Amino acid sequence: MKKLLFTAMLLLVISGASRQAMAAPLWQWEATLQQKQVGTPMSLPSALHIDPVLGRYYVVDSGNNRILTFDRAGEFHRGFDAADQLRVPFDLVREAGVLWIVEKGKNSLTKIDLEAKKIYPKTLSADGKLLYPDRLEIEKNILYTLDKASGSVFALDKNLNISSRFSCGKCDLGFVDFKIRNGSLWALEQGSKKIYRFAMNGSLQETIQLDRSSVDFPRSIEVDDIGFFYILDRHQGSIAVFDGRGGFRYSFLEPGQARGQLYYPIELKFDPWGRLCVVDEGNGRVQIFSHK
Amino acid sequence: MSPKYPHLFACCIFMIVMAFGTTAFGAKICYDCHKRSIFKNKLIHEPVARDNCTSCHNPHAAKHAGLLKKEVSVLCYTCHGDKKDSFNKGIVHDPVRRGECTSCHDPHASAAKGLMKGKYADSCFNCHESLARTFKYMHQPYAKGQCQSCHSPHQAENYQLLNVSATKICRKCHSQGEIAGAHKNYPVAISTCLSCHNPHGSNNKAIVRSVRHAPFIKDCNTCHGRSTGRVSQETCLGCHEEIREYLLTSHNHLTDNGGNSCVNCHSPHAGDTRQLLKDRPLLLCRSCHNDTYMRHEENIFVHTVTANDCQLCHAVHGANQVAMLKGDGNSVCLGCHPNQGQFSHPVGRGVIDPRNNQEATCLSCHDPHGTDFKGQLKMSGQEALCVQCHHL
Repeated sequence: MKKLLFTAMLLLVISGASRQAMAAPLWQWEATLQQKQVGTPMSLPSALHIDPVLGRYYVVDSGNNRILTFDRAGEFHRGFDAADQLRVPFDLVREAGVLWIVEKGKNSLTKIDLEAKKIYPKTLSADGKLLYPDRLEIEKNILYTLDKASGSVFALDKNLNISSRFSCGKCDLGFVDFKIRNGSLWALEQGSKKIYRFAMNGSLQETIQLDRSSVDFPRSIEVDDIGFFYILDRHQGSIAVFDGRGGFRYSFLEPGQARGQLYYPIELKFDPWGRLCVVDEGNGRVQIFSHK
Repeated sequence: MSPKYPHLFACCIFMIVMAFGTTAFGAKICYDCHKRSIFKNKLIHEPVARDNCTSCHNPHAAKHAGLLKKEVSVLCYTCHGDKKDSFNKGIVHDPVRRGECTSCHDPHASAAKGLMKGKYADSCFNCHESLARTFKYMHQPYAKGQCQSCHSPHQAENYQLLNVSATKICRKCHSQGEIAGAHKNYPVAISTCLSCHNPHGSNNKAIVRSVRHAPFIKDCNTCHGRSTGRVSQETCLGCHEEIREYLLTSHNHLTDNGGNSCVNCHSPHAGDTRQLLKDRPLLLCRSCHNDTYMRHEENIFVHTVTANDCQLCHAVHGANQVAMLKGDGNSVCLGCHPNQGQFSHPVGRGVIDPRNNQEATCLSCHDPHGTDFKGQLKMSGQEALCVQCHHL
């Protein structure tokens, strides 16, 4: 009888401990993308793009009007300013031989042909209204950009013609970020703290209300393989994790300037190696965290 | 003669003494010093009516002012606990959130319904001092002091504690027909009355707000043209071209779900100030950034000069700085503190913060909204803050 009781207690302790571990996994700092030794320090970085084939990080160094590249280990590779042509670059994606850059200073989605060394800025419009590109993603050769003015995401072909629109309808202020993950487009609405999931043809599939008290000022979203949401809280300097139904699970990181702390962070992105990258705008760096 | 059950008898006597001793008998003693007339009025709070002073007060000693047994909010919710949940929903009136029930209610007696202190409007004006009391043309509910006809005093789901959304509230009293009759030849559908009318009063007829937008006076078609929908921000920028550069920044307030970002903050028709802002700057900013306000509300050390006007430090249309600051973390502060950085801790060019390898600025150590440390330091200036960079 005593043995039975002991075994039951042991099982309870083990299951409790494992639940605890699942509820709050440990994220550890692994690397910082920061130009320390060479030239001007990074200033107000706004976005990160990762090339899984080259194993390279592209950081938009918005404050210095340039793009910086780093290798997978976090070592600085080189800087690129398109012969000083960039004006307030904000986001970018890269495909074979081409960089697409959102330039806020020109209100342009700019194509840079790397081989021809040519720059093609273009101001977009839809239904007679100017678009103000903000976030940018690429998936299966289709560009997706968030229009800051309307708060909608637009899908664009290579000629930058609009092929579909992802909108939250009558929500207050529209989306502030989006990601394409697991075959869906996930968009974050800041005011109501909701996540919208769209099919890739633009039709709304579901709306998920996040636990409102767990995040103050949501600024960026990531989605992992099991459908958990990672929400970057710009004002709290932290990342809140929610399950697929919007239930709060745990949060990590804190505000500040030291390693592992955030100051006005702006973007969240998983790299292809399962690490969570935080573009830490106020601290002029990108911090990379791995899941232990 | 001795009782059959002496312990039970003693208990009964004790209970009776305690009951009377702490209620009627207690109150009688209270009234020996405290004038009973002060506690009499048309409406009397139930514990007072029962002479149960000790339900709220400790007659001997207490931690709280007025010899209250507990903090005001805790004390009130011991009986009015059914209200607690509903009072925490949506937008909550500041005194309610701070548990300051007695700033509006008299806990003893009052002539007004709800034990309000004085007339209903008097309670409101005690805090809302900047509201004009009289206008040439007054809205009747305001003139009669009926603030509650539009505002909910405890909490509401709507901005400014309106008990119905701003687009619908006027229709509580004014029918669609009445509104249409007063706006003949109006080029677009009437949606927000508050865009043109001051709901309290105005020196203009029909309580139209005091500062009118020039195209609104001249010709509606200047902006609306043939459009029957919302006017886009491009129309606004057609005249206010100087604002466009702020929209070409990394951080800006270009956010309005396909409508017009300008009208998030500005009234396109009429306003109470030259900027045609929809509200006082702090309240306007709070309508979206309440989390920032709340985070610093309880701070001991607050930057009082800028606390009520965000525009002093923030470029409210847009900027290439975090938090839409008007400059970097030094230049914004140096506007008012020109000598800082010259004789105190060095900041600026060539001074590197080892924590993030960025140029050290005032914001490396200070949080200008407020903190619990003197000088709005982020940590204690005795040691904790310094050792962040200067390792011992």
